[in-house]
Amino acid sequence: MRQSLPSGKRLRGEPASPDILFQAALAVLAALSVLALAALLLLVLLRDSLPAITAFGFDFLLSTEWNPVAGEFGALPFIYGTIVSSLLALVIGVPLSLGIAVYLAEIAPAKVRAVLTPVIELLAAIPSVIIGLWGIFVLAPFVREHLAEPLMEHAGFLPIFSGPAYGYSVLTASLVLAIMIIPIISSISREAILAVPRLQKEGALALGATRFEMLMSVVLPYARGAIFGAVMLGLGRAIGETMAVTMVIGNSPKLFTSLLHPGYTMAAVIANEFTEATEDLYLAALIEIGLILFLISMLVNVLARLITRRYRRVAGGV
Amino acid sequence: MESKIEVVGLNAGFGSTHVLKNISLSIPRNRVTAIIGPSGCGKSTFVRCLNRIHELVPGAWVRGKVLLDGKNIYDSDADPVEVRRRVGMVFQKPNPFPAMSIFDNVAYGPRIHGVKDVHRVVEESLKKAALWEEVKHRLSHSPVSLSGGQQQRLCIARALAVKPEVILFDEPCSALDPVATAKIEELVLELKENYTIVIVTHNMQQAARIADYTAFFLMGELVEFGETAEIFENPRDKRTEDYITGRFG
Repeated sequence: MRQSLPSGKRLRGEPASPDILFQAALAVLAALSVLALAALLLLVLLRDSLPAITAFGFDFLLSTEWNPVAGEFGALPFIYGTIVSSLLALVIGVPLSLGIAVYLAEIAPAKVRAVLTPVIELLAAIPSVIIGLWGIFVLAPFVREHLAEPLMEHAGFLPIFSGPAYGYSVLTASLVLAIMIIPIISSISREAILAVPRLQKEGALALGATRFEMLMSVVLPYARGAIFGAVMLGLGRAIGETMAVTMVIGNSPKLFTSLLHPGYTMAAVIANEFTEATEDLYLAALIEIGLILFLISMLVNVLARLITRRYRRVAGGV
Repeated sequence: MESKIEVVGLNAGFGSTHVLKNISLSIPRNRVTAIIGPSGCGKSTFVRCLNRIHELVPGAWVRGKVLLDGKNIYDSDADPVEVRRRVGMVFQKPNPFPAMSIFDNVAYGPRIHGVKDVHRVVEESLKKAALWEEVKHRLSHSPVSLSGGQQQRLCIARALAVKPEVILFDEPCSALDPVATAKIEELVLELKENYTIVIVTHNMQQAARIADYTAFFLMGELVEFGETAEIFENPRDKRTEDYITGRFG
């Protein structure tokens, strides 16, 4: 008599049941359809941006001129704006997220934890246009009046904090982005910290480490793979975020030096100018920016996955 | 025999579960004391009370006194971090820090305690843990590449590097093969020259081989404590006799 095994496992050598074939077929189809969708998207982007690619070639990536009326299209200010605003969002958001994650996982009393954890995750559910509105009415004036002033006064010798200060600026956009990536980074990091084996924590404490030393030198490093993955997911979100950034970054296609000045991002220019792009070359240029955005996002995600997997393998040995 | 740790009326548990019931026991200095007993008898909880690790588990509680050199480690002015520095611990499963190199694992304790000559301490500790020859050429490697027995000796070296006075071993060989187990036992015998050792084991032969004194725990109570030879050859309590002759457990 063949004994049925729990959880659908089968013994070696046993013929595959129709159930498993069905599952495998579904998995293959699902995987193929996702891949096909991505490939199709890439093809369409390539096809529609072809006029711009042939017209400007590699210069498109390096030119800083964006003057649709004169037929000049250079993507550098947007690429630059996207990268700088996203990285600055990480600089602001990652320490805060890690602080929140450590607090919620290790320090907060159970009651505080039960209230705060869902509240922070709910932040992610706020539509970005609402955050954008808040950015316009609250954050931008705040940055102009209370943040830019002291920054210029005390750190104005640094080019990145030189004046004059605008409310709609790269700094404002990065603050908005930081708020938007905190929920995802903090909740994944919190889970990663909770998943650190108790034996690791006790091991550190048994050596006479304080709680703080244990958290910084043992818990966070142990969870670093997942935390890094969380940061990359946040970066991906920041790079692609459109609405909230468009509303507060000032939309000026220049290579800014000061973070207190306006900038522009790839996603923002596509959203802003798509409806105005009546000429073929203009449209193709916007779509090529979309293509670049797509490739950068893919690259960030693939890198995140590779690095996360490497760390997971190392941690898996103990 | 001069005692290093004096346990007086120790009770401990988790929430409404009463695990340790009124344990009183003195652990002699520079000797190996084994704690034996069937699973769930509270022997792990007992040693975890000796370095204040037990209280880290949510819901855990402790009552009673543990005098380390005559000073109660549960006094309100006693610092648990300082207690843990003086009373080291080696756990059931090897738990090296995977994100650090072999060297950094051993250097961890000295560094957080502000020791100057970390290199010398690391080398000394690895030598004492009989691991130096095996790892001296790959100190910068990850401990993940070591075998289970080597990882456990690394954890012993890591504990030694803090220069503790007492080392608690909580079933240190339960995840190891017989060869690795023999090495750890040999090491424990060498270490008792300079340290007071408490070892929890469910392996009675192990207790008989390495312990000078043995305590038999059953259902949270200390049934019998005495010299190992006495406990094994001439137990006073019927339950001890039943356990060591394999009638239960």
